[in-house]
Amino acid sequence: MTPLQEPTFLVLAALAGEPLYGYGIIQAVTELSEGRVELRAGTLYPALDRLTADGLVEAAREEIVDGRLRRYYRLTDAGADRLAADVERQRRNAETAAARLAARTAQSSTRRRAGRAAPALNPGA
Amino acid sequence: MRPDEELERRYRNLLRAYPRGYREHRGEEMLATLMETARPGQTRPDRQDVAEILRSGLRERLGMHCAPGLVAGVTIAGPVCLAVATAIAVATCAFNPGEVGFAVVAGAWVLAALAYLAVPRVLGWTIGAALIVTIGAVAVVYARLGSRDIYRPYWQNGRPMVFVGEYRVQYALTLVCGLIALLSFLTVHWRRSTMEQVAVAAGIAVAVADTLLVRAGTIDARLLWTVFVRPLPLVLLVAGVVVVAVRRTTAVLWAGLLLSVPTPLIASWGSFAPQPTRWNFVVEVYAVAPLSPFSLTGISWLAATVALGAAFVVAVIVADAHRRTMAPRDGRAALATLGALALGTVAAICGLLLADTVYHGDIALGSLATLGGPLAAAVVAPFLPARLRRAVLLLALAGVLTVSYSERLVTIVPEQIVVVVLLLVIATAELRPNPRLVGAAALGAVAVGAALNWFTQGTVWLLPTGWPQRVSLPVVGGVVIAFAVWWAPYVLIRAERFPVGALFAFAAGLLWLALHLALAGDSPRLIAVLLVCVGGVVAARLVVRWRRRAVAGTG
Repeated sequence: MTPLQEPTFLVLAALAGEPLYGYGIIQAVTELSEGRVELRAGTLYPALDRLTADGLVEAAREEIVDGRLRRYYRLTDAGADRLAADVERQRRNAETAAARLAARTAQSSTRRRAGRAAPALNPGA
Repeated sequence: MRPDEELERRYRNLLRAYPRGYREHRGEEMLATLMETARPGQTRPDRQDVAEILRSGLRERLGMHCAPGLVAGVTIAGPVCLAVATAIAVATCAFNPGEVGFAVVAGAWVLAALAYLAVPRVLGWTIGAALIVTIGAVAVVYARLGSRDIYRPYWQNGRPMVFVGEYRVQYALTLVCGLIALLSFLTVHWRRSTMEQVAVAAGIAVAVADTLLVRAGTIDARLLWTVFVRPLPLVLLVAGVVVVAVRRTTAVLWAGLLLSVPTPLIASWGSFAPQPTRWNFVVEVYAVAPLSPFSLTGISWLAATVALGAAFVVAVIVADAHRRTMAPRDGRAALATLGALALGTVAAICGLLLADTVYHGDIALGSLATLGGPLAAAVVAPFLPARLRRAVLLLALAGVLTVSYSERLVTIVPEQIVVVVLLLVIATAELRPNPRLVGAAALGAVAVGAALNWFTQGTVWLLPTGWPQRVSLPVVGGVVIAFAVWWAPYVLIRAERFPVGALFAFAAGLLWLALHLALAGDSPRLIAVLLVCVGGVVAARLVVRWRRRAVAGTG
């Protein structure tokens, strides 16, 4: 399965909790991405169209607040599965990377100790 | 008026970028979101919001989201087409020293390329300006050189010639590539990654360097042609197929398809077939224009072929998109329809060509393989399981390309047409096409050919030699009838709503004829055809409106 693109991932993640309407999704995505991804109406709705077409997201209910339409969206079961699969993929990636970093830290600390004992091992020499 | 009312009015106007059906479904919701994201006291829509909405509105109107990967494909094709347009403009200028008009065109495209690399804010304007400058300059140069536009030998005394006779083909290429770039810019967000910028800049630099080397006589122009330009569609196709196999995405195929649109023009630019053959459409064009193989008639014919093919594809996509706006979205169904139409057309073209080849006693292994392979593949593909279907279609594609690109048969098959159609076939290899639809499309294609043949009393299927000269009102009627025959099975089988796209396709076909009548100086018929064109478009609009009212009345 192809990895989700970041905005798609964030929209799905935003909807993982309770159903949200347009502006709510935009706020949640900004919050989740710590301000890196700021969706606009012109990008949010095509994304919602696509996710709805793929059956990952569905309209939950509609409300009129101050004369304005709020259509709430929620994650479908297929959407939840897709998000879970991507979370699992990212988690595995992160674990692998963390393990390698840990190995590197361990190695370099031994090298530093070895380097102090034998300066001739310096690659510049 | 309060600031928020002012802003709301402006946003409402802006949302007209979307088609009505979409607006009815999404409009209020989007407006609410736009108003909520507005700053306090804001009275004008945010610049970036405007750009995003205009882009996604145009995408929606073109039905681009129906085809998986199309948006990504357009994103890839846009900058590449800009690079190609720039390279050709510079090459034409370099091959024709002393022509001020050519230098101006080259300058305009270089500016657009520089804007792409450095000043993205003005990119859209510079591409638009370059297109206008190109059209203007071609008109001015044509007024001066047009009557003396006699074909010169491509290569003389070991030196490349000044290509006076070819500038219009080159500019037709520049225009088609430029239009694709503009369309891409208007519909998708260009990413402008560093990698992409370096690739585009390198592409332009290589093309310019090649041009200068040929001009200096360092390398043979024919070599440049054979090595660089001719295999371009092949390279794109192979790259596309590989990416599809590996990444399982259709984006690169769509990019390849878009980049293949100008290839019939490239073929005419460098097609130096030793003798005219029955199936080389490009040579047919040369044959009907004794004074100038690169005449305006020839170019317009090729441009019209491309436009007509594109109009057909777009009409199908839009017809499906239209249907889908009301129903749940199903892009894959639209693509399967497109694939079925393409398969049927391939079967018809190859079947008729094969029958004719055998009838003329020209039974060579190459022609049997080139024509029989795709025919067999198109016939059996709808009945095969997905994996086998993909394999069979890929095999047929590989076969037709290998054979048609080999030296001997290169002029026998209208290769560019087969290539474009096969691209569509491969793009839909993962979807099971409806066998009845494939059959209907094949019958429709045969009917188109037969009708045209009958009305033109030609000897060659589809487009006989001398056809543009024999355009008459019966031919106009023939084209209309042929299109109706082509569309009827599609409409009947799918129980479609009224396919508005078909009417627009009629109009495109009639405009094509109008172009030829204008070239032949046949004013009365030209006026008649133009009236029919306008009438067709008006009728389409009226029917759409009437149906909407009917739907609203019952709903």
